[in-house]
Amino acid sequence: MKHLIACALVLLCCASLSGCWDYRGLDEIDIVTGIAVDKDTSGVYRLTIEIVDTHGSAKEGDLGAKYVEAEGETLFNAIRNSKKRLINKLYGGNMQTLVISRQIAETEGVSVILEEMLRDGEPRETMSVVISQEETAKAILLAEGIDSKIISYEIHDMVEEDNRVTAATVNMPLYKAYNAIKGTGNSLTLPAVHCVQNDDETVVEGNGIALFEGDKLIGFLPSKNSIYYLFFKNEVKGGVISFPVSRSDDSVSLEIKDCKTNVDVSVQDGQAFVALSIDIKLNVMEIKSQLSISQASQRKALEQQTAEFLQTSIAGFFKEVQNQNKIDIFGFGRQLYQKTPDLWVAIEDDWNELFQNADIQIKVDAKIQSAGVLKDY
Amino acid sequence: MFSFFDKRGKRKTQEIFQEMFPHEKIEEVSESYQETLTRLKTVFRDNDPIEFRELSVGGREPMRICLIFCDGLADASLIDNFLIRPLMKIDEFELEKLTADTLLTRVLQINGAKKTKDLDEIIQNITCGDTLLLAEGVAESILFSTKNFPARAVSEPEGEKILSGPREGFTEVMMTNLAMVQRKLRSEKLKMRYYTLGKQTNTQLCIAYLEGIVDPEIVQQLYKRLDCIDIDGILDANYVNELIRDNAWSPFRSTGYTERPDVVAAKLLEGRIAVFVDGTPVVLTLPYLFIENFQSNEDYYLSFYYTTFTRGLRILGFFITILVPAIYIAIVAYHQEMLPAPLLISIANERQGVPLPAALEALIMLVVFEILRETAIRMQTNVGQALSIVGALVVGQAAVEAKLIAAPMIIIVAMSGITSLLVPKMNAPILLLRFGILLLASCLGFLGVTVGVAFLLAHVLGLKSFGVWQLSSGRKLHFQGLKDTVIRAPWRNMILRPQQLAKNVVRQKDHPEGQQ
Repeated sequence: MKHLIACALVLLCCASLSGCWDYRGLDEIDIVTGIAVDKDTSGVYRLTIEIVDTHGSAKEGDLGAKYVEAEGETLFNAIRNSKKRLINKLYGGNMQTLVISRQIAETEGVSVILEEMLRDGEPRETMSVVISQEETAKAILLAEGIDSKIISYEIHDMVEEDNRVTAATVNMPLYKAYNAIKGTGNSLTLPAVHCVQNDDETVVEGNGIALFEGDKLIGFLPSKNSIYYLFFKNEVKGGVISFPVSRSDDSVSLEIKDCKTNVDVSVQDGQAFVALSIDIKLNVMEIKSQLSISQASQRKALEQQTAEFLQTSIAGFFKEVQNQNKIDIFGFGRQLYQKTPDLWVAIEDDWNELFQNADIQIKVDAKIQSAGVLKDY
Repeated sequence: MFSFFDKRGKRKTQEIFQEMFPHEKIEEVSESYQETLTRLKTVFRDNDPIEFRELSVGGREPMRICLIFCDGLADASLIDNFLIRPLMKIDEFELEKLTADTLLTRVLQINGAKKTKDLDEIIQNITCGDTLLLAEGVAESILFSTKNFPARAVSEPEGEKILSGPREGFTEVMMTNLAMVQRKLRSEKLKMRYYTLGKQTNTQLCIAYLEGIVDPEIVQQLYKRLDCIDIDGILDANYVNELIRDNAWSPFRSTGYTERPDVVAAKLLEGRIAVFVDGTPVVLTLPYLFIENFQSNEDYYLSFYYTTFTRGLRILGFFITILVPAIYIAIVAYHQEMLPAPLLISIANERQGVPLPAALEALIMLVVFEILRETAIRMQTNVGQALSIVGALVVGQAAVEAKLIAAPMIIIVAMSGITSLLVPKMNAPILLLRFGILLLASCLGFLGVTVGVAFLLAHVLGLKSFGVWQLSSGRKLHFQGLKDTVIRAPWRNMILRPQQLAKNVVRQKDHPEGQQ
């Protein structure tokens, strides 16, 4: 009997342990999929919260989304104020996208918003954070999805996949974004999105990379340059390289199959050096020239040209960043800090100047893996 | 955990018995013919099937003889031809002196015969079909084996069907069952010892084992426990099972049961003991290891690749059936973030408008499933169709369409219900665990599931069967010992018997590993 009572008591203790895991029926929650954060001129946060419309019938296809708008002095205030319009509690455990308007990013920075999201227990650390290039962040959430009616999920998947297929933007989950702000020598970059017309509907498109100094937006990289940025980060997993060959109106398109890059940053006598080596494997996709790639020599020549093209364009891009953005968007400082912490402490304050005058050396090893010729091989 | 109850309960009932029924002494029949006959007639008063056939044999000095047997149980033609006929012609034998011995050796022509004076034994034997011969002037009475009673033919057991392998099954007659096993194990090492249990039923038991392989301590332990039994009747093997098992309150089995002679033979070969009970086709085997819950005799008759897979399915099925409803409730009611977004959305959509909380819904549906299952077992065969229509259509489809029950719940209950059929030997623990863990999950979420599984594991690890740990081997783990557990190794490689059970563990002596 004593044993039984003891067991019962142990179980009773468990009941009090369950704490914050309160019973929460699925029909008593509104599943938040994404939040867009805007701020109007009077300094009030305006949130647009996308929630799943579970009242529809799943049998007729995708479930749609509903939008709740809320405003408040602070972000958390605004989230809580939204409850005034709802029966159910908002549930953020499956939230996938956070859209931040460029105004907020430029004027007050994103770190407050990211921190609030991380501090809250529910939202996932892996959700995507994107910067809206439209007038408001709300415009992004109100766009139509092509694959899914829930635009937040579409943006999340788009940003994740984009990086693998087109190398047009970065994939930066919430926790990485926060680490980039707080980490020594790192700099934050976030995917930028805008709206475009597609088949009479407004849809969202990834559009390059938003660059930050600290947590404040300082500019955008156009999507054609994103791939060069990603080379420095060793994050190129796919994408297309096209360039003119021999005569100016001839061109080839190559698909990146595999790419490994290695960056080595060093500082000697007040001069920074960046050594970038790229090991890239490509498939030939499109040829508009007299090249006969069935010949080994011609293939070799094409590889050579690819390497040269990459070298010049990456060098040009690097110069552009040095001259226009004037800050280390690549996070080279982080590498220096990890490699030679003492040196980093000494040069930390002058790093941006050192970066502007840094020399770069680029080595490209391009290999054409498959020419994909059907005839004439 | 429950041992406390156990001890006190037993002591009390035993004391009560002692007070009510002081032990009776063996009663002997008297040497006088008349006295014995009257005594037996009083014993069998108001018992019409018992026949007292009185004869008067011998020409010059006729002698009174009485045959006592139970009509229907005893073979009438045997009695006619080989008892009454020779007795009537007793003069032809020209006996000098009539004694029990001369009757047996010279007159009567039945092979099973026994002299006795024990009244209890006489009564027992008459009530199971034997014939008693009382003769005037002969001191002892003689019992003849004339049993012949209706019995079911040998057929494949309904509860343990297989695809390939021996198809015979035990019947209700113990002698037939023993013969079936004997036919499979033609060895003088096979020992079969009778034992009688039940004050009213006097049921015959037979304890069988292979000498030289079995652990004698376990046999001794079994006898000790059988000796403690004091019950009026044994109608099925489960009476014995519950009276001799370890951990009396545990829902898990402590002895195995089967209706197949091939299974009994295999278990005997592994060093187990079989307990046959007259009147039931179910035979108990012991000790019982936990893995036996997942084993099937077919595992050894089909390809080991296939049966390793199916055994894995059974183990998986056990966990699915006890955990799936609980995990579903824990996720849906507490830990929504455990679900991928699209699944969460579609479940949320299904649950929209359902009036009951998920936990209550699960409880109700599980009870409904058990009701359907139970009726399917008990009902007459010709109403089966009606039941399946009501079960499938009304409870399933209509309830979902009327938004009384969410569709995922039906899937969960169906999955839990179907998988429970994979492990029929654990129906009791599955029922308890499924509801228990579900209740824990619906008030504690995943913490409840974890607590439930931890308690389950602790309980199962503590289970013993006749001194043998059921789950843990209790010794150093040997690879050999694992070859018939989660996997079923090919026969070529199963060189040793289960080490916990057998005294002599070597199964294949010629093999180098077997010689060590």
